Amino acid sequence: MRRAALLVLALALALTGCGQPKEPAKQAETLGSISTEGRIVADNVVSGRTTEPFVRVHSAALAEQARSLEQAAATPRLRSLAERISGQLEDLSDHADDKGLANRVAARLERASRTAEELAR
Amino acid sequence: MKNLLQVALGILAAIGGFVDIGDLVFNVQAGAAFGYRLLWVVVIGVVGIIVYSEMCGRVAAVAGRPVFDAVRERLGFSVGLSALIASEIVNFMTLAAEVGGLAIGLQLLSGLPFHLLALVAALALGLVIWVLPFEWIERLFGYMGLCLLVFAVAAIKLHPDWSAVADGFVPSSPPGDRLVYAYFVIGLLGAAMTPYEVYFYSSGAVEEGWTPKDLGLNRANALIGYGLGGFLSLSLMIMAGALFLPNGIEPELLGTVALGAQVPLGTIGLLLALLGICFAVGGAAIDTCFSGAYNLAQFFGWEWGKNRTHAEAPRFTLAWLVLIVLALGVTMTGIDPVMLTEYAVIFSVVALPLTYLPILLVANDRAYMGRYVNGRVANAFGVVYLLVILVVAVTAIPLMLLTNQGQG
Repeated sequence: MRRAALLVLALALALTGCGQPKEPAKQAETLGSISTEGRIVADNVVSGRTTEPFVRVHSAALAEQARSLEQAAATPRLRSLAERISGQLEDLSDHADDKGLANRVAARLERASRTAEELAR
Repeated sequence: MKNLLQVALGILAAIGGFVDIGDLVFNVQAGAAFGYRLLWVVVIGVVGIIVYSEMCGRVAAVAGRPVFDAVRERLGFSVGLSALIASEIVNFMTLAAEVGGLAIGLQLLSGLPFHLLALVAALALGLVIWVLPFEWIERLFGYMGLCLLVFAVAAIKLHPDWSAVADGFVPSSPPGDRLVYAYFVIGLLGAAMTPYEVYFYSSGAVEEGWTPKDLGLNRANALIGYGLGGFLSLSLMIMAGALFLPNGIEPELLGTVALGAQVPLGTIGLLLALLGICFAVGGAAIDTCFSGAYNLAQFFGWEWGKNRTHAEAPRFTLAWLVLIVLALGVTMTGIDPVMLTEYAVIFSVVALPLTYLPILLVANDRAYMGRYVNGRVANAFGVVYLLVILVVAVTAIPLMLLTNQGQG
């Protein structure tokens, strides 16, 4: 029983290191995913096909994901890209019903997605 | 109409098991990573849970015995206690994740602060369990959870390649990382056979007072309920394969799942998806909360049952109340609910075989079951799925570690 408990504890500790990509290409792919998703959210604000609470909360959650990658970034370029993406998503979250800002954020996130794609190669 | 209402138990058990917060994200991740290539796994999982739910519903109807009663008797005190500890940890972790998931769903709907909504979610769940009769809890959460059918409409509106969808129902060699593919296969099977589904289902059958006359109802509940749960899983995967895979999106958030209905259907799709998520996750919270209390009561021989007054079953009532309060405490720490359900896998691999083996043994015991004992077909399926469960139990943790939780 004691051995089983220790095994479970060891596995739980091992698992705490899981979930965050470490390789630069994989990190770039994840940043590309976040920026593409953020661009879709921003596009939906522009077309009026969404709700203000959803945009505010979901953009903030995506920004948080980008921020956590910023801290774990394997290269300075990835760190800078993560910072740009999280900044745009925070702006979108803070002004969730501003169509003009959403349009600009969508364009910037589109560019960020392309940069991420290049870095992932 | 009456017959339709009677399958609520199966629908709630299935919605709780197939589309709880972890499964919502996991199914969408599977579709985003492998398109339609994992659809066959959902079908295998659905058949497995139908086989075992029918079996434990039959045991409940004929012998009046829920699953943990059989676990205690067939495995003895010490092995039974291991099963109880593992299943209580799984139940509790999942319950905490569902309370957090419900708070996130409410937050995406309202924009109010997470911690306030976690408190509201826990209070609402406690109030619903305290006040509503068992049948109405089933109906409210089971049928409102069907708002998730919006994902089936979304999948159609996204115009997937239907021939590729059809190919997905046949196993094929995996593209890319084989270990990640295997991780998703095992994860989807494990999610389909989550132990708390059968704890809740069999105890619910006892709560509803099923007798051998209700065996047809048992079959209808297992087939329709879990069939619907599987259909929702398939819809989520097809939606993700059509929308997220081509865009290179790796879903990790509950909001991303809702986005899958919003893109093709606009605001109404988003609202229906969020409503469905709230009721499905709330239903899963009730499944796990009841399962935790049922298991404790059945193992230690306490009076139990939602249909008894709180004074008639005080320890049972106290158990579910304590579970909700503790789950709220965990949620308040801000832990990621999706991650929490994935960690619950560690403990569910212990509980899986220790849950399903006693069901198979009791369903084969003529002393309990009389002429309702398992036939050859039920036994053949039961044994095959027990082997599948053992494979899941042995490989789940190594694959999780080797693939960095499917990240590759």
